[in-house]
Amino acid sequence: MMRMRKIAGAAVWYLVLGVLGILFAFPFVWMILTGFQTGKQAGAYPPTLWPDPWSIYGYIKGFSSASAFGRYFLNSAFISVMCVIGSLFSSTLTGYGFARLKAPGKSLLFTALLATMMIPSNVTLLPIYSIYAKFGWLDTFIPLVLPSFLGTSAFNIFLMRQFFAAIPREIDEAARVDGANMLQIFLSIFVPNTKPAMFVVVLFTFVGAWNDFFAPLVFLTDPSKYTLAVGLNFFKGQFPGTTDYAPLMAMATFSMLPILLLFLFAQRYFIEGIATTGLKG
Amino acid sequence: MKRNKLLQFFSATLLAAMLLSACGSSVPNSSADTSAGTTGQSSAQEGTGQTEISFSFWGNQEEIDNKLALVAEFEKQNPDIKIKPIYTDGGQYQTKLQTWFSSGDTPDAMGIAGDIIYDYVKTGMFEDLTLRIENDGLQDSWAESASQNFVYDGKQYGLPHIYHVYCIAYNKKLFDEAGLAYPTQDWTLDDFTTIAQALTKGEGSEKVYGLGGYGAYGANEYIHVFGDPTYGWEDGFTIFPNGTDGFVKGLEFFGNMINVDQTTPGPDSDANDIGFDSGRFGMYIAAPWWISTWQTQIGDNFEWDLVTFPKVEGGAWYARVFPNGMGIPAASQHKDEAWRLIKWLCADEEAQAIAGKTGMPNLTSYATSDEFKNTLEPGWKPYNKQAFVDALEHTWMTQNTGIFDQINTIVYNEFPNYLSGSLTAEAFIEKIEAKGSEIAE
Amino acid sequence: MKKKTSEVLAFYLFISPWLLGFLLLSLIPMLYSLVSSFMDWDGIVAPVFTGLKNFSEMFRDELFYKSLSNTFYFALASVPLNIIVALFLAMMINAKRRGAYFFRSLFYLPSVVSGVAIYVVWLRLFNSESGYINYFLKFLGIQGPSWLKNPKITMLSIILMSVSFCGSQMLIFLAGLQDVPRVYYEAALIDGAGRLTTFFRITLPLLSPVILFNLIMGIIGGLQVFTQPFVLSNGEGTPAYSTYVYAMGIYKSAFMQHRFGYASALAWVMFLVIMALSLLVFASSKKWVFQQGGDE
Repeated sequence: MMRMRKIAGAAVWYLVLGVLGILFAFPFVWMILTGFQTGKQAGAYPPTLWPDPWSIYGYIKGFSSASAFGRYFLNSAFISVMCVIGSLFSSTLTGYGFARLKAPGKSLLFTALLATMMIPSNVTLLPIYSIYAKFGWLDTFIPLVLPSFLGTSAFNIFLMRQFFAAIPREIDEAARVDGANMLQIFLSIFVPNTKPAMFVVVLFTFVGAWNDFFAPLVFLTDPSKYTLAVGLNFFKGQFPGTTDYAPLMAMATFSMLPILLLFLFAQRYFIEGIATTGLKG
Repeated sequence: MKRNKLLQFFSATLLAAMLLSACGSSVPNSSADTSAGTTGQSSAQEGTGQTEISFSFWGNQEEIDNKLALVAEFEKQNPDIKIKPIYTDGGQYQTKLQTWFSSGDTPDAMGIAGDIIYDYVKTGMFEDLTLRIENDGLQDSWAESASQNFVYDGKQYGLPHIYHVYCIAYNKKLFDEAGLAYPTQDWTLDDFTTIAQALTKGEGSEKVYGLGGYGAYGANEYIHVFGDPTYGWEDGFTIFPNGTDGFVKGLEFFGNMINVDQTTPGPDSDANDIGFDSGRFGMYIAAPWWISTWQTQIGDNFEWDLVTFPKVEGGAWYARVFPNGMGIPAASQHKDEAWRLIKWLCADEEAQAIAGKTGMPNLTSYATSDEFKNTLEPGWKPYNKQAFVDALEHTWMTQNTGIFDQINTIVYNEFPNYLSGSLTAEAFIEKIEAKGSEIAE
Repeated sequence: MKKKTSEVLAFYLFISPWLLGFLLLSLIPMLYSLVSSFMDWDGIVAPVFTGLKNFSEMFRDELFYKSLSNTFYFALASVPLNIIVALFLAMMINAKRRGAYFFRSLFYLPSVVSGVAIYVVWLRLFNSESGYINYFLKFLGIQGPSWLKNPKITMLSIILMSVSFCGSQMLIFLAGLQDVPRVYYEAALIDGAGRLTTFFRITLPLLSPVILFNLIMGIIGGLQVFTQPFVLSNGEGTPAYSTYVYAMGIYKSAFMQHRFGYASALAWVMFLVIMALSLLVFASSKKWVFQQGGDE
């Protein structure tokens, strides 16, 4: 009887997730498949699912255009990695400060931190643009990377702060008794114990930087510095019927691969990391 | 442990990407010095006597490739000028314009469209080219109507480069099946209505429509059709400068087609996503940017050709024109070189031949030449290109995207209300006029 | 005494990168735009002071209210929906079954491919004649509606599409779920609690801080939604203004109509709305969120 229950339970589990999985994955799978259709099939009406014949026209076109998707890839990679480093740096430091240290004005600053998430980016664009112009940093990667080092992602700071706050005070008390100072406590206790949160920061920051097309578009003028996200837009024409579907989908698939790989690597540590922190239960 | 693996992963991807980028063609003028200055900065390189100028334009991948080919050819013919191309996709060009002009840091030569520059011309951001045109004897190089698109207050700020304009494409197979003669240049509006009715047949997902293609762009196409624009730019901004008769006529004519005859899909019909290549439309609004897609997708399925809009008694059916041109920002440091570039792009037959792949060339001498008439992309079937040239006789342009955008939002969104009967033509006009007075403030 | 001052110093030292960023990239630009909101300015030539004209125009504009209601509709519908779906998925995937890994990636990936390509795919999916959604519905005997052309449904379609991007929220819930000490579940089992009771009495309360987090982030993001309605309506807000969201109005004013002052005014109003809403949610959270271990 118990066994029947278990099998039924498993069946339901697989069924529900299977159906939902198909719903979630379908657009995404179709995108990949369209990337392997010929130009004619990809643009045909009604749109079809399965490539017939299979073709790498999309990939050839994507890589051979003057825009050189290979270079876009490098640019995206560089920017995203720098943003990850910057985010880890700023969000751990700031999160720790807010979680553990007391100072006058702290609540005010914390409110300010939360408030920054509510600023519509469209409107700070022009002033920020002027500021960078004055520094002469336009058409460089600085406007794309600097914000991460300066902690502009309140999300990441907030996240780290929550995780830091959850560490029992006894641990730092103990360390303090042993004579460690603030920085040492930070580096040797807090940072290693919040790996799961750090992986969230890494993943989300990387994905955000990788997919961002507005900032690179605005701050870069030299097309050889463009990122993948910007390059993709060139395959979607301004007028209906001028979208070149096969290269668009092919390059989109290509753009997605690093994130896929990153996720597959990271997720092991992400989930398991939590279970082994020895903090809970 | 984790750090190692992450590092491994990233170095592997970087290596792969490097190999890939080596396969791709090199991007022109990639600057090794990434902290180089701003766009306007052009350097005279020592010893070679070369001046570098920046040139901005927009487009989808094909158009970009085309412009880059033009740039390469120009550089070949003018070894003392080096061009730094700057480009975005069509939708984002205006964003870039705003950032360039607001920081005062503009390219030396710019691709422009007739309707995006007026707000900038008004504030003196563009160089007046009238004198240069006269000095080089270029006044008659382009059709009067084409040049007019870049004239503001009697001064010309841009040279016409290429344009897109609407015509009607017709499906010969469907015409044959309905026993109809193919339309000629002299066909009338009544002919058109009759033909549309005769071509429409079927129901639901099998339905064949008499006309397609306007629905996708919304009501603004219909209401400009009889020539009375919703706003004018001649003496400053006026709403309905020619009165509202054409507007009402357009509403009625197309309202009829959509509601009564049902010969064309309404704005809320999904048939608007269907292209001419599907064979579901007897006639279709054609623009040069469609030709490439149609040639590929239609292939041998059916024969088709182009014709200008039908004649209207006492008026005309105006075709929307999208003029693309070249201009020079007032802040450019290299106006002479920029002038040489844009002059070549717009008044040189060889340049126009290259540019003609992505739009209709503006240069009269080339557009009317046999060479152009007989040029056909490899694998393409011949079609009546001349229709696009003849269509220039009666055109309208959006003139000012900023204002057009505000008015278009109303027109676009209220048209379904007009169609359903909940909004009368008068009330519709009132709404537009209200917006107009708001803008005029 | 000495220890306290060093703590204050340490605090400011630790947050100094953020503080610098806040001043340079948030505070100053926001003040800049606040000032512009009282001006008539095209972003290029010298601005003209016009006082409250931008605001009075805004409040008289029927499009302003329409865009607000559209945006609220989107946020209030998609945020809870996303949270419920993400939570459900997280709970399912939390099981120790073979394939949990696979499903985890499967549900997360769509949220990563956001961008022009995937929206174009959805555009084709939604086509009422040739799209696969209606195709499958036909198999079930249902006549699919016109997803993107019927004003009553279009926003709903966008909301449904946004659910497919809830993967990152799901991950956060997963992290939170794994955080729940197993002893609690074991104790509940011993006490004979059923699955539903366990969920409502243990899991949900312990997850409430995470839910709060996702709720606030969702509201903030939802009220600023732009790319999806923009791409799916081709930048017009059609049909019948139903997809004209607030951010679209800001974008059009700033970059297409060259009215930077007006755009700034719009942005500030939205900023205040978001702040008010977040404070509301935050304040109410004291009632339903389980606090643990935090120090403020």
